[in-house]
Amino acid sequence: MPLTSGQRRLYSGDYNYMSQEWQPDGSVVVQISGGRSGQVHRMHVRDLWGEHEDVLSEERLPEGPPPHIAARLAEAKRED
Amino acid sequence: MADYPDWTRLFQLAGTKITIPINIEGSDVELSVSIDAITADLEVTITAAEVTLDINFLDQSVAVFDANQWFALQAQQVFLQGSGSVADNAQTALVSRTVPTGRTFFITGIAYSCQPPSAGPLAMEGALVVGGSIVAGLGSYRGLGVAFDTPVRATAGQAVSVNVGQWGAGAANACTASLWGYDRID
Repeated sequence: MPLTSGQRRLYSGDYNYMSQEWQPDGSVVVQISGGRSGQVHRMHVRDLWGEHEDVLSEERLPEGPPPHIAARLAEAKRED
Repeated sequence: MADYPDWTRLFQLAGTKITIPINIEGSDVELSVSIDAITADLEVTITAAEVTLDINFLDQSVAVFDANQWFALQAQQVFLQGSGSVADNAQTALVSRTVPTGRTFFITGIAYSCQPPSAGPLAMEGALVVGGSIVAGLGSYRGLGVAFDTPVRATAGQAVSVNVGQWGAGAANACTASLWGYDRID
């Protein structure tokens, strides 16, 4: 089975930060961020690192600050 | 060399091999050094209450930690954090990583803790496991963090984890573990 984009980052090392939330059933919610892409991937994985590793769900979270913070940053920059 | 108070002199040296032993004692010393060579060996010992060093390297290889090298490592910093439930009198891997392809992972620190809602453990253990071997086992009451003075190396494909155990609580507890360091791109 081909790797998902999140798995590809896991095994290529394109991240600086990883959090793991282990679930009672042994699966884990993994979130990675940083790296060259700067993207944030959040994956629900069964058998993480195991022979039968399976990505149950995967999403790419919005990058950068939320719109209201981006607007304030832009305004602050204009006032400099 | 004798003591020359308020003595200033500019050295300009050119040659294929230059060795300069320097021993300076004074209440106010200012030393400006510029070296342009194929190989350079500069050994400096300073004893003073306040020291300011301004060093610029224009070289291919230096024997001290170079700012540019450090910045490159910072770009490869890796911080991992995991959380989950740990059964009473048991140990669980709460954070883990397979070292990615083409990288060497240098682990510089680990930490662990637990957040007991009521009954907490009487003792905890945090173990750093690299490639199936425990390379550091730490014990504590409710948590601990440690920075290694010698980074622990893990190679591409090796599994790295921090296993957390809790004993004597009488119930499972939510615990966390962290692991950090940097990747060298091979």
